[in-house]
Amino acid sequence: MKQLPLRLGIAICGLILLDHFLLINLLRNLSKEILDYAAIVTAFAMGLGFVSLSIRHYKAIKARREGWLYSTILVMGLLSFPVATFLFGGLRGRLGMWIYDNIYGSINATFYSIQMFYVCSGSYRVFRVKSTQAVVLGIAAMLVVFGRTPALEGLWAGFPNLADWLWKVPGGGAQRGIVIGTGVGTMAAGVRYLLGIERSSTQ
Amino acid sequence: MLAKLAHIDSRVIFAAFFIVVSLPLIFPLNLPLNVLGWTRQSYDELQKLAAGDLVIMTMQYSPALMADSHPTAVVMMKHLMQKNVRVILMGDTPDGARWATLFAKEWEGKGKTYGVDIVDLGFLPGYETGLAAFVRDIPKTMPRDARGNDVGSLPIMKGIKTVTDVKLFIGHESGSGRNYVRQVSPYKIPVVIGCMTADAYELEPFLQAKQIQGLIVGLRGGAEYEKLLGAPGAGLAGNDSQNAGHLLVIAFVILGNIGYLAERRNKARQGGE
Repeated sequence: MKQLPLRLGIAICGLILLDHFLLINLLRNLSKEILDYAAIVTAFAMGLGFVSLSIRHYKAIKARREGWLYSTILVMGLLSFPVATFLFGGLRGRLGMWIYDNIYGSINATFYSIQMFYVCSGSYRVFRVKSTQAVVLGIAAMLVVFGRTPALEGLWAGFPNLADWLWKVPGGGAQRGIVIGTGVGTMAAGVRYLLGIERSSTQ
Repeated sequence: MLAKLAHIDSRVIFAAFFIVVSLPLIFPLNLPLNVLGWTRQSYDELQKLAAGDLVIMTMQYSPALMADSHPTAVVMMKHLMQKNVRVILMGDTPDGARWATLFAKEWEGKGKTYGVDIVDLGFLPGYETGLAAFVRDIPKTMPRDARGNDVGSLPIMKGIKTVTDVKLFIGHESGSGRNYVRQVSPYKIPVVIGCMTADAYELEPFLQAKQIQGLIVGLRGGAEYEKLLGAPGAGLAGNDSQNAGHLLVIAFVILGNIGYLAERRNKARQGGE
């Protein structure tokens, strides 16, 4: 019984993989069905996440564990949106959308914006000419900024071209290496799953 | 004295950054802007479309990325609507679906007919797997639009089965742009990606390899597109502010290094005495 999820996983992975290489209608239809189910399962997982998060934090509040006040705010936040949505106007109701646009949206944008202040402060502290590598990194980074900042592009016509070259050749080459490396790694992980060697998900 | 520049308080940097980024929003500088090749490529790809052609435009970004990604989506939507291209809107994240709804509402208010010129399919669950299912069979994966209509009953969806039935696929990503490369590009339809600035490095090799036909990078990309279309908007307005922010970063890096070198020289002198 313990092996059932693993075997099911292997069968499904194998089917999707075969469909990628073989043009057989039966395989195509089966794989299409599986992909549809995957979308449904993901949607269901969101609901499951909601329930498990609520239970976990409800327990923390009940036991007055450290940080229980944060758990209370989290649970309130978690419940307010669905309650507002379903009780007042349905999925496209005004109150739900108001919460989304004016509370969630604002908090979300604020948190991301704050990062920019740290990027500025971090650049000031990190780009120091402490070693040869740091000098190379600093110069390359500054050249890209010079070539990508419209106010500075006009200083020298070569800045945008230089930034473009740095971006496309050394940067692009390194990025391709990462993409190919990740791809090969994913394939290796896939083979491990398919052969049943990778069992961490069932243990 | 100069050595002090190596230890500027973070609060000073934050305050300077806030002022420098805010001022151009209040007093626009209208700095010049060159259009980069990848934005022009994307623009040309949309220019190739004829009135009545069908396009899919999907969004991923959350309100956090609104400043960076939203101007691109807005101006591309405007371009499509100006050309009388029919657009299937959707979100492949829950946040992205909100933009699809807002675009549909906005253009419906501007005279486009819902279900004929535009449709809002809502949220596509499943992330990359969901997208894989969607491109293979659109009506089966999303049988109802965001308003609860049967997609088969909408004129815009007539004859649509797979992604190959549309002329162009536009994805506005927020970290998962490779999903479009992996799941849509193999169908040999043109793919244009609007990406957040931080993801440009990751996606640019796919543009070079012609796996995608256009890439619009962040706020600057949006501003360039607005310039090409002759429709100034949030992109061009934010461009001055972004420029000022870049200049301040450069200034602080230079100041930091002057301070660091002065400090090193002082230490060397003290060591020699």
